[in-house]
Amino acid sequence: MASLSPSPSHHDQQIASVLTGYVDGVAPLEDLLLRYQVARHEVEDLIELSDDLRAILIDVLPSPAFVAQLYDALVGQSSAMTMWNRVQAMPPRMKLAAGIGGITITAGVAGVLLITARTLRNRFDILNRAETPGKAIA
Amino acid sequence: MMTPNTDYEQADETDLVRRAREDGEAFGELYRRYVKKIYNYIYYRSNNHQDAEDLTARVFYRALAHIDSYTERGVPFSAWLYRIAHNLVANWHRDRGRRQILPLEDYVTDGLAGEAPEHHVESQEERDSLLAAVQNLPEDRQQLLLLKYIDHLSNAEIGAIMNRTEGAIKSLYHRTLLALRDELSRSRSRLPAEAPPDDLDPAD
Repeated sequence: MASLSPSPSHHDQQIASVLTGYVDGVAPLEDLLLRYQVARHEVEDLIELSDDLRAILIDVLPSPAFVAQLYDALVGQSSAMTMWNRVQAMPPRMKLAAGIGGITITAGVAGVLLITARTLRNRFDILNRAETPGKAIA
Repeated sequence: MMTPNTDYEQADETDLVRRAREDGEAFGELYRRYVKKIYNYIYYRSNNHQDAEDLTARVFYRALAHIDSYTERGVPFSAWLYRIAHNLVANWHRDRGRRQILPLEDYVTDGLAGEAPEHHVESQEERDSLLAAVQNLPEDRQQLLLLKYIDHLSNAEIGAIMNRTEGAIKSLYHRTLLALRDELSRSRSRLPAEAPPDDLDPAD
């Protein structure tokens, strides 16, 4: 049985090397025992325990749907952050110009939408009155 | 799923991290390389898929948010991710105020289908006992076992994550196995002794 001294003895370190080498698949157990001059009975129970751990601690895969959704969310967010970072990094004059330009474009688009909506509403009203006899057409 | 940029599949990690500050697809490649390992690690610390998914997502969102501040300085990107994961899981446990024992219905079994039922039960109990013993270990020892057995990391890689030397990890691993062995011996000694079967025929 290995000791638990605060400063591991040289032999404890040899045993630790065998155990690590075994779990990392560095070499067959017999080779490790020979290399580090450790008797089998000194590590046999810990090797069995290592095998048991390997049997129970197995890969648990995430669902492919989760992996895909998170990928899309991260890459999309990253692109948005990059755009934001680029705007933040602009000189003040350019940022102001970009802001004014953005407002202008937004106002223009909003105006077009309003005009279109009013036109459509007027046409709808005309059609509605035409289908309803007796109502005056404006 | 968005189609990953194949140009990044063979890219060096240092180059990828640098590009990830400007290019979302570069970060996506980093994510693709590490999501399963991080998920695995978190699953065994949280014991259910929902929390594992939530925590995994938080790891990568946090990494994305702080990618600009990451500098290698001897700590690989993967080690940085694991540190984020470890801290998030530790905070999660603290907030919940308890450690969860893996529910049997979530337990992943493998290779037992061909065994006789009584042997299957005995193996299942032993596995449950060992898993419970692992989950009762101090956090650093749990982390070491998960990184070693789930993610198959070397002592040097684990040392970079846990901010310890390779030799310290080797020694810690040895002490962890000893502690586990002792804990299992104690738990087995607490079990009631089995009664001999009634149908045993002394003439056999």
